[in-house]
Amino acid sequence: MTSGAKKLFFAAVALSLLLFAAQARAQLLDMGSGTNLSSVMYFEPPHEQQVEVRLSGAEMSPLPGVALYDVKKLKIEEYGKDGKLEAVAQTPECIYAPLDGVASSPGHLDLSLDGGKIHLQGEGFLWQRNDQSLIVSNQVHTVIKMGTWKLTTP
Amino acid sequence: MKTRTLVLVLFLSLSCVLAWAQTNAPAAKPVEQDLDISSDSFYFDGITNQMVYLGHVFVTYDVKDKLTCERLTVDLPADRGNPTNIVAETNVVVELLESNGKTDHVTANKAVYFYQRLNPVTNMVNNLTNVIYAVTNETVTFTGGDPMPKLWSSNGSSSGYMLADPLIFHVIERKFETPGHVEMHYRQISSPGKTNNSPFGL
Repeated sequence: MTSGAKKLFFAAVALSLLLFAAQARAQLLDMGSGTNLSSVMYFEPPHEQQVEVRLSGAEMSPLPGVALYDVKKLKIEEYGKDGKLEAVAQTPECIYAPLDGVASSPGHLDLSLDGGKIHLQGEGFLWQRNDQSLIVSNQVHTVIKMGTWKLTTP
Repeated sequence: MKTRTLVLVLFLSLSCVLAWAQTNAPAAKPVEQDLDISSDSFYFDGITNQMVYLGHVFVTYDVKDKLTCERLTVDLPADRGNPTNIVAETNVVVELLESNGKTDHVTANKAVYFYQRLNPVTNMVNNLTNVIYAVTNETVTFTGGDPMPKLWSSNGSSSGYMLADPLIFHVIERKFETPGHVEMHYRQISSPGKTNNSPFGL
Protein backbone atom coordinates (compact mmCIF):
# COMPACT_ATOMS: atom_id res chain seq x y z
CA MET A 1 0.00 0.00 0.00
CA THR A 2 1.54 3.30 -1.06
CA SER A 3 1.82 6.36 1.11
CA GLY A 4 -0.95 8.02 -0.90
CA ALA A 5 -3.26 5.23 0.00
CA LYS A 6 -2.13 5.41 3.56
CA LYS A 7 -3.00 9.09 3.58
CA LEU A 8 -6.47 8.49 2.40
CA PHE A 9 -7.04 5.67 4.79
CA PHE A 10 -5.36 7.07 7.82
CA ALA A 11 -8.72 8.28 8.97
CA ALA A 12 -10.23 4.87 8.84
CA VAL A 13 -7.30 3.25 10.56
CA ALA A 14 -7.27 5.94 13.17
CA LEU A 15 -10.98 5.51 13.56
CA SER A 16 -10.36 1.90 14.45
CA LEU A 17 -7.83 2.89 17.05
CA LEU A 18 -10.10 5.50 18.54
CA LEU A 19 -12.96 3.14 18.74
CA PHE A 20 -10.89 0.40 20.25
CA ALA A 21 -9.59 2.89 22.77
CA ALA A 22 -13.07 4.09 23.48
CA GLN A 23 -14.28 0.54 23.70
CA ALA A 24 -11.56 -0.26 26.23
CA ARG A 25 -12.49 2.83 28.21
CA ALA A 26 -16.11 1.88 28.12
CA GLN A 27 -15.26 -1.59 29.37
CA LEU A 28 -13.23 -0.09 32.17
CA LEU A 29 -16.17 2.03 33.17
CA ASP A 30 -18.39 -1.00 32.69
CA MET A 31 -20.97 1.27 31.15
CA GLY A 32 -20.62 0.36 27.50
CA SER A 33 -20.42 3.99 26.51
CA GLY A 34 -18.27 7.08 26.85
CA THR A 35 -18.22 10.81 26.27
CA ASN A 36 -15.58 13.35 25.29
CA LEU A 37 -13.26 10.68 24.06
CA SER A 38 -9.76 11.69 23.18
CA SER A 39 -6.66 9.78 22.25
CA VAL A 40 -3.18 10.76 21.11
CA MET A 41 -0.66 8.56 19.36
CA TYR A 42 3.01 9.41 19.04
CA PHE A 43 5.64 8.59 16.46
CA GLU A 44 8.06 5.79 17.12
CA PRO A 45 11.57 6.70 18.35
CA PRO A 46 13.44 8.89 17.71
CA HIS A 47 10.33 11.09 17.26
CA GLU A 48 8.47 9.70 20.24
CA GLN A 49 7.81 13.18 21.62
CA GLN A 50 5.84 14.26 18.58
CA VAL A 51 2.14 13.66 18.05
CA GLU A 52 1.29 11.54 15.02
CA VAL A 53 -2.48 11.19 15.37
CA ARG A 54 -4.96 13.00 17.58
CA LEU A 55 -8.44 11.53 17.86
CA SER A 56 -11.53 12.90 19.47
CA GLY A 57 -15.17 12.00 19.68
CA ALA A 58 -18.02 13.59 21.58
CA GLU A 59 -19.82 10.39 22.45
CA MET A 60 -19.73 6.67 21.86
CA SER A 61 -22.48 4.25 22.72
CA PRO A 62 -23.12 0.57 21.92
CA LEU A 63 -25.98 -0.36 19.64
CA PRO A 64 -28.20 -3.43 20.06
CA GLY A 65 -27.13 -6.60 18.33
CA VAL A 66 -23.69 -7.66 17.25
CA ALA A 67 -20.86 -5.40 18.39
CA LEU A 68 -21.83 -2.07 16.88
CA TYR A 69 -21.01 1.36 18.18
CA ASP A 70 -22.48 4.76 17.47
CA VAL A 71 -19.81 7.50 17.52
CA LYS A 72 -20.70 11.19 17.41
CA LYS A 73 -18.61 14.17 16.30
CA LEU A 74 -15.59 12.16 15.33
CA LYS A 75 -12.50 14.15 14.42
CA ILE A 76 -9.12 12.68 13.51
CA GLU A 77 -6.00 14.73 12.89
CA GLU A 78 -2.72 13.43 11.56
CA TYR A 79 0.56 15.31 11.87
CA GLY A 80 3.86 15.04 10.08
CA LYS A 81 7.15 14.60 11.86
CA ASP A 82 7.70 18.32 11.41
CA GLY A 83 4.55 18.99 13.45
CA LYS A 84 2.60 20.12 10.43
CA LEU A 85 -1.07 19.15 10.29
CA GLU A 86 -1.32 16.88 7.25
CA ALA A 87 -4.77 15.37 7.36
CA VAL A 88 -8.10 15.86 9.05
CA ALA A 89 -11.18 13.63 8.90
CA GLN A 90 -14.51 14.63 10.42
CA THR A 91 -17.95 13.15 10.52
CA PRO A 92 -20.84 14.15 12.77
CA GLU A 93 -21.82 10.54 13.35
CA CYS A 94 -20.89 7.07 12.25
CA ILE A 95 -21.49 3.45 13.13
CA TYR A 96 -18.56 1.17 13.65
CA ALA A 97 -18.31 -2.60 13.73
CA PRO A 98 -14.87 -3.35 15.17
CA LEU A 99 -15.06 -7.10 14.59
CA ASP A 100 -15.79 -6.66 10.91
CA GLY A 101 -13.62 -3.60 10.51
CA VAL A 102 -16.44 -1.65 8.92
CA ALA A 103 -17.43 1.97 9.54
CA SER A 104 -20.38 3.64 7.87
CA SER A 105 -22.70 6.59 8.05
CA PRO A 106 -25.52 8.13 6.05
CA GLY A 107 -24.19 11.51 7.11
CA HIS A 108 -21.50 13.90 6.06
CA LEU A 109 -17.83 13.01 5.62
CA ASP A 110 -15.14 15.65 5.38
CA LEU A 111 -11.57 14.62 4.51
CA SER A 112 -8.64 16.97 4.13
CA LEU A 113 -5.45 15.28 2.98
CA ASP A 114 -1.89 16.15 2.20
CA GLY A 115 -2.00 19.41 4.13
CA GLY A 116 -5.23 20.45 2.43
CA LYS A 117 -4.09 19.73 -1.13
CA ILE A 118 -6.90 17.22 -1.44
CA HIS A 119 -10.23 18.04 0.16
CA LEU A 120 -13.11 15.60 -0.20
CA GLN A 121 -16.67 15.92 1.04
CA GLY A 122 -19.66 13.70 0.57
CA GLU A 123 -22.83 12.32 2.06
CA GLY A 124 -22.89 8.73 3.22
CA PHE A 125 -19.80 6.56 3.41
CA LEU A 126 -18.68 2.99 3.95
CA TRP A 127 -15.18 2.00 4.92
CA GLN A 128 -14.08 -1.61 4.84
CA ARG A 129 -10.77 -2.41 6.42
CA ASN A 130 -10.27 -5.77 4.75
CA ASP A 131 -10.87 -4.42 1.26
CA GLN A 132 -8.90 -1.25 1.95
CA SER A 133 -11.78 0.60 0.36
CA LEU A 134 -13.74 3.74 1.01
CA ILE A 135 -17.05 4.40 -0.71
CA VAL A 136 -18.82 7.75 -0.62
CA SER A 137 -22.30 7.28 -2.00
CA ASN A 138 -23.75 10.73 -2.61
CA GLN A 139 -22.94 14.32 -3.54
CA VAL A 140 -19.21 13.85 -3.75
CA HIS A 141 -17.11 16.97 -4.13
CA THR A 142 -13.32 17.01 -4.29
CA VAL A 143 -10.88 19.87 -4.75
CA ILE A 144 -7.30 18.96 -5.64
CA LYS A 145 -4.78 21.78 -5.62
CA MET A 146 -2.59 21.07 -8.61
CA GLY A 147 0.92 22.43 -8.62
CA THR A 148 1.76 23.34 -12.17
CA TRP A 149 3.90 25.70 -14.18
CA LYS A 150 2.21 28.47 -16.04
CA LEU A 151 3.88 30.01 -19.03
CA THR A 152 4.32 33.72 -19.06
CA THR A 153 5.79 35.87 -21.77
CA PRO A 154 8.97 37.65 -20.62
CA MET B 1 -9.94 27.39 -58.50
CA LYS B 2 -12.57 27.07 -55.82
CA THR B 3 -11.22 23.67 -54.83
CA ARG B 4 -7.68 25.00 -54.61
CA THR B 5 -8.85 27.84 -52.40
CA LEU B 6 -10.67 25.42 -50.12
CA VAL B 7 -7.60 23.20 -49.84
CA LEU B 8 -5.47 26.23 -49.04
CA VAL B 9 -7.91 27.35 -46.36
CA LEU B 10 -7.94 23.90 -44.83
CA PHE B 11 -4.16 23.74 -44.84
CA LEU B 12 -3.85 27.15 -43.22
CA SER B 13 -6.42 26.21 -40.60
CA LEU B 14 -4.61 23.03 -39.72
CA SER B 15 -1.32 24.89 -39.61
CA CYS B 16 -2.79 27.35 -37.13
CA VAL B 17 -4.15 24.59 -34.95
CA LEU B 18 -0.92 22.68 -34.86
CA ALA B 19 1.47 25.61 -34.82
CA TRP B 20 4.20 25.37 -32.22
CA ALA B 21 6.25 28.30 -30.98
CA GLN B 22 9.83 27.27 -31.55
CA THR B 23 11.43 30.59 -30.63
CA ASN B 24 11.22 32.99 -27.72
CA ALA B 25 10.11 30.29 -25.33
CA PRO B 26 8.12 31.96 -22.57
CA ALA B 27 9.22 31.67 -18.98
CA ALA B 28 7.33 29.46 -16.57
CA LYS B 29 6.17 30.36 -13.10
CA PRO B 30 4.86 27.90 -10.56
CA VAL B 31 1.20 28.35 -9.75
CA GLU B 32 -1.43 26.35 -7.92
CA GLN B 33 -4.67 25.64 -9.71
CA ASP B 34 -7.78 23.92 -8.45
CA LEU B 35 -9.00 20.68 -9.95
CA ASP B 36 -12.62 20.58 -8.83
CA ILE B 37 -14.46 17.25 -9.13
CA SER B 38 -18.12 16.58 -8.41
CA SER B 39 -19.90 13.28 -8.88
CA ASP B 40 -22.77 11.15 -7.70
CA SER B 41 -20.51 8.67 -5.92
CA PHE B 42 -16.90 7.90 -5.13
CA TYR B 43 -14.77 4.84 -4.55
CA PHE B 44 -11.24 4.64 -3.29
CA ASP B 45 -9.22 1.49 -3.84
CA GLY B 46 -6.36 1.33 -1.38
CA ILE B 47 -4.73 -1.52 -3.23
CA THR B 48 -4.44 0.21 -6.60
CA ASN B 49 -4.27 3.67 -4.99
CA GLN B 50 -6.98 4.96 -7.28
CA MET B 51 -9.85 7.35 -6.68
CA VAL B 52 -12.84 6.56 -8.89
CA TYR B 53 -15.72 8.99 -9.42
CA LEU B 54 -18.95 7.61 -10.86
CA GLY B 55 -22.10 9.16 -12.28
CA HIS B 56 -22.57 12.69 -13.60
CA VAL B 57 -18.92 13.52 -13.14
CA PHE B 58 -18.22 17.22 -13.58
CA VAL B 59 -14.67 18.54 -13.52
CA THR B 60 -13.45 22.12 -13.57
CA TYR B 61 -9.75 22.87 -13.96
CA ASP B 62 -8.40 26.34 -13.38
CA VAL B 63 -11.94 27.70 -13.74
CA LYS B 64 -11.76 27.89 -17.54
CA ASP B 65 -11.62 24.20 -18.51
CA LYS B 66 -14.64 21.97 -17.98
CA LEU B 67 -15.17 18.24 -18.45
CA THR B 68 -18.14 15.97 -18.01
CA CYS B 69 -18.16 12.18 -18.20
CA GLU B 70 -19.63 9.13 -16.48
CA ARG B 71 -16.48 7.74 -14.90
CA LEU B 72 -13.28 9.42 -13.77
CA THR B 73 -10.27 7.55 -12.39
CA VAL B 74 -7.53 9.47 -10.57
CA ASP B 75 -4.19 7.78 -9.89
CA LEU B 76 -2.50 9.10 -6.78
CA PRO B 77 1.31 9.11 -6.74
CA ALA B 78 3.18 7.22 -4.04
CA ASP B 79 5.17 10.28 -3.03
CA ARG B 80 2.20 12.69 -2.82
CA GLY B 81 2.03 15.65 -5.16
CA ASN B 82 -0.14 15.91 -8.21
CA PRO B 83 -2.13 13.01 -9.59
CA THR B 84 -0.03 11.53 -12.36
CA ASN B 85 -2.82 10.10 -14.43
CA ILE B 86 -6.52 10.91 -14.74
CA VAL B 87 -8.81 8.95 -17.05
CA ALA B 88 -12.26 10.14 -18.10
CA GLU B 89 -14.52 7.58 -19.73
CA THR B 90 -17.93 7.40 -21.39
CA ASN B 91 -19.56 10.42 -23.01
CA VAL B 92 -16.59 12.67 -22.44
CA VAL B 93 -17.35 16.30 -23.24
CA VAL B 94 -14.75 19.02 -22.78
CA GLU B 95 -14.98 22.79 -23.04
CA LEU B 96 -11.77 24.81 -23.15
CA LEU B 97 -12.14 28.55 -22.75
CA GLU B 98 -9.31 30.35 -24.49
CA SER B 99 -7.91 33.77 -23.70
CA ASN B 100 -9.26 35.23 -26.93
CA GLY B 101 -12.80 34.46 -25.82
CA LYS B 102 -13.49 31.50 -28.05
CA THR B 103 -14.32 28.06 -26.68
CA ASP B 104 -12.92 24.82 -28.06
CA HIS B 105 -15.15 21.79 -27.70
CA VAL B 106 -14.05 18.17 -27.71
CA THR B 107 -16.13 15.03 -27.51
CA ALA B 108 -14.61 11.58 -27.15
CA ASN B 109 -15.13 8.18 -25.60
CA LYS B 110 -12.03 8.51 -23.49
CA ALA B 111 -9.66 11.23 -22.30
CA VAL B 112 -6.40 10.62 -20.45
CA TYR B 113 -4.68 13.40 -18.50
CA PHE B 114 -0.96 12.88 -18.00
CA TYR B 115 1.27 14.98 -15.75
CA GLN B 116 5.04 14.97 -15.61
CA ARG B 117 7.53 17.35 -14.08
CA LEU B 118 10.42 17.84 -16.49
CA ASN B 119 13.98 18.82 -15.78
CA PRO B 120 14.93 22.51 -15.62
CA VAL B 121 15.78 24.07 -18.97
CA THR B 122 18.75 26.33 -19.51
CA ASN B 123 18.70 28.90 -22.26
CA MET B 124 21.98 30.43 -23.41
CA VAL B 125 21.88 33.90 -24.94
CA ASN B 126 25.05 35.88 -25.69
CA ASN B 127 27.05 33.30 -23.77
CA LEU B 128 25.00 34.01 -20.65
CA THR B 129 22.60 31.68 -18.96
CA ASN B 130 19.63 33.95 -18.71
CA VAL B 131 16.67 31.67 -18.55
CA ILE B 132 16.31 28.69 -16.25
CA TYR B 133 12.92 27.21 -15.68
CA ALA B 134 11.20 23.95 -15.07
CA VAL B 135 8.44 22.81 -17.36
CA THR B 136 5.57 20.55 -16.48
CA ASN B 137 4.40 18.29 -19.23
CA GLU B 138 0.61 18.23 -19.05
CA THR B 139 -1.35 16.60 -21.82
CA VAL B 140 -4.86 15.33 -22.37
CA THR B 141 -5.10 12.58 -24.98
CA PHE B 142 -8.52 11.98 -26.49
CA THR B 143 -9.25 8.63 -28.10
CA GLY B 144 -12.38 6.89 -29.12
CA GLY B 145 -12.22 4.75 -32.20
CA ASP B 146 -15.84 4.93 -33.26
CA PRO B 147 -16.88 7.69 -33.03
CA MET B 148 -13.56 9.47 -33.34
CA PRO B 149 -12.73 12.38 -31.04
CA LYS B 150 -14.22 15.55 -32.43
CA LEU B 151 -12.89 19.08 -32.08
CA TRP B 152 -14.67 22.27 -32.99
CA SER B 153 -14.59 25.86 -31.94
CA SER B 154 -17.45 28.18 -31.16
CA ASN B 155 -16.76 31.81 -31.86
CA GLY B 156 -19.81 32.71 -33.82
CA SER B 157 -18.43 32.03 -37.27
CA SER B 158 -17.32 28.42 -37.07
CA SER B 159 -18.71 26.06 -39.64
CA GLY B 160 -16.38 23.10 -39.50
CA TYR B 161 -14.93 20.45 -37.24
CA MET B 162 -12.03 18.07 -37.02
CA LEU B 163 -12.00 14.34 -36.30
CA ALA B 164 -8.70 12.99 -35.01
CA ASP B 165 -7.62 9.84 -33.22
CA PRO B 166 -5.67 10.42 -31.11
CA LEU B 167 -6.21 14.08 -30.42
CA ILE B 168 -3.72 15.51 -27.94
CA PHE B 169 -4.24 18.75 -26.02
CA HIS B 170 -1.12 20.31 -24.50
CA VAL B 171 -2.50 22.01 -21.39
CA ILE B 172 0.29 24.49 -20.76
CA GLU B 173 0.73 25.63 -24.33
CA ARG B 174 -3.03 25.42 -25.02
CA LYS B 175 -2.37 23.70 -28.34
CA PHE B 176 -3.78 20.63 -30.06
CA GLU B 177 -1.69 17.97 -31.74
CA THR B 178 -2.91 15.28 -34.11
CA PRO B 179 -0.21 12.65 -34.57
CA GLY B 180 -2.56 10.07 -36.05
CA HIS B 181 -5.55 9.89 -38.34
CA VAL B 182 -7.18 13.26 -39.06
CA GLU B 183 -10.32 14.25 -40.91
CA MET B 184 -11.23 17.87 -41.60
CA HIS B 185 -14.89 18.54 -42.21
CA TYR B 186 -15.93 21.87 -43.58
CA ARG B 187 -19.44 22.95 -44.39
CA GLN B 188 -19.00 25.67 -46.97
CA ILE B 189 -21.21 28.66 -46.37
CA SER B 190 -22.14 30.81 -49.31
CA SER B 191 -20.59 34.17 -48.56
CA PRO B 192 -19.69 36.24 -51.66
CA GLY B 193 -16.41 38.01 -51.41
CA LYS B 194 -15.12 35.98 -48.45
CA THR B 195 -13.00 33.01 -49.36
CA ASN B 196 -10.17 32.90 -46.87
CA ASN B 197 -11.81 32.65 -43.47
CA SER B 198 -10.79 29.68 -41.36
CA PRO B 199 -13.60 27.15 -41.51
CA PHE B 200 -12.84 26.13 -37.95
CA GLY B 201 -12.76 29.58 -36.51
CA LEU B 202 -9.38 28.77 -35.05
